[in-house]
Amino acid sequence: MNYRIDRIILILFLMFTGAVAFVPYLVQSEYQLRVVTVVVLWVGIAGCWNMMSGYTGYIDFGPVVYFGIGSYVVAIAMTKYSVPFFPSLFLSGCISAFVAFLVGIPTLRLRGAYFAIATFAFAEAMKQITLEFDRTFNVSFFQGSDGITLPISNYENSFFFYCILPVTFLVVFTHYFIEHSKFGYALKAIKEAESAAEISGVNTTANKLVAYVMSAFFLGLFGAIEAYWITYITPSDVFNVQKTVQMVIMTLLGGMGTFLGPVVGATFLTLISETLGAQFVEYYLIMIGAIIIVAILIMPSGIIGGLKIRKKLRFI
Amino acid sequence: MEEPLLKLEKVNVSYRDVQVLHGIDLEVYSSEIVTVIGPNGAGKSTLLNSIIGFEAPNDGSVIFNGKVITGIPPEDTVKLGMTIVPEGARVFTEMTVLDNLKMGSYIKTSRAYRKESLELVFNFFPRLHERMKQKGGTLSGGERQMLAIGRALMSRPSLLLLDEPSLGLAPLLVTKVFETIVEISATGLTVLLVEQNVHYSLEISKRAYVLENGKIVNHGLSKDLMGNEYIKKSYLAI
Repeated sequence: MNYRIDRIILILFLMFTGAVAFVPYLVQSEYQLRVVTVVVLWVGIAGCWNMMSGYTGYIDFGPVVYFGIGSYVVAIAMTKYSVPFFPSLFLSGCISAFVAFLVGIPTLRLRGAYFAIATFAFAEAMKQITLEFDRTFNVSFFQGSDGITLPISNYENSFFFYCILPVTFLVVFTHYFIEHSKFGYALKAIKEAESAAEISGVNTTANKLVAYVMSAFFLGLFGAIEAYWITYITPSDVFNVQKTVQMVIMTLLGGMGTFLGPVVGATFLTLISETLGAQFVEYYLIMIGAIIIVAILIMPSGIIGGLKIRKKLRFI
Repeated sequence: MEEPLLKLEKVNVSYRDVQVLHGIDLEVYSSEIVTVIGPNGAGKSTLLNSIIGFEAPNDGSVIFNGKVITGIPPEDTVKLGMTIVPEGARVFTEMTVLDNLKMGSYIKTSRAYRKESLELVFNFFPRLHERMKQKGGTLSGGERQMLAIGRALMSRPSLLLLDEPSLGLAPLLVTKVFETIVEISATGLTVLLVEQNVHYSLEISKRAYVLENGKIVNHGLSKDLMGNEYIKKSYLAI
């Protein structure tokens, strides 16, 4: 029975994505388009965190590092080696994924808080490396705190919207795949009782690594697209820990380890900060803080998480 | 003589500087129930963990089905045909009973038999069939133990390791769990049981080992051990 609901939700989701694709033709101003683009971007970014931490329960406090790596790869490839945007974009995803693979092998053996600390430390370390590398070795590569200016494109906002939308779609669709596969069961088993997963024959390290690398790949893509969109990056911007915090909060608000959790959480949070930010310039952060606290108190397992429990839905 | 299904030779296990198991020699033959008894902290759980692969022995060897499996991680030993019902059951609390059981047949070789295995498990534990759609976390202690045993059976093992299955259960349920172990063993499964409930475990097993302070201090047929003065005094309180 639930499978039928799942199917319906998937179809609705596909239709919704299709509808969103027409947004650039419907908006009245560039501002509205930008807001929608940011929402879609954050749905994807929060989804990346959910893919790893939501399903496995391994709290990653440094996902921003792969976003930052993606930004820097695209910036360096385009400015230093004059690689066109799309190949650079692909390269960003691959290099992020590769770094995640190398980092994941030792860190994914750590459990609980140790994993969180290790990932957090790695993200901060990467920020310092990009800041200090050039000065230390007397080269001009990462360009330290000066940042890198990417080639200014003639593309309009709608171009970036259409870059981000398919990646976000892939991220959410990957969630669907996770929910309906053996891989997803393995991840959930790891979250609930890792040792019991092992004795069921789950290669826990390999499964966690796949989730981690996948999430890093997509984060790299998002980092690259945003870098090209903003056209100027600095280490403290792209490796900003605030991005991590935002991913976590959005996912928690929507519901960890659920398919639609990051979609709802990211949309909700981005929209309220936009609307409140426009009207109450000085107080809006306080208001958002209060809203988050109230939301978590009322719905400890998130908007979708709570719905899932109440309606006994398996999948959303 | 017949080769043992499981054989431990001079197995030493340490946690950092503290040696927990000292030169354990142990044999389990096909289709028998063997029990390891001993007081708290003797190293019984460590013994099972070093067989299934949660702990790697620093010394000695573990041989299963003629193959040396020393230090192989649990996800691989399971594929060779052994599994464990861990202490305290460790069911997946957020998954339904059915999903818990399905997780048991995660490995390829057992997936093919999933349907038959499910039937088998529901035969042993009709209660699990009733609670199929409930979450693992909503089960009582006894039901969780059943679920953990059921999950283990789903992987189609030839050797089943049981770590304190009677822990924390009401006396009536303890009897039920031991009866089930006998029934399971009657299907040809080999069982290595670790227990503090010496009375029951000696009763249902063929042979027994006594583990104290990380050493095997005595072993033999269970019925002989039951008559042993020392065992009577220290474990059976007779």
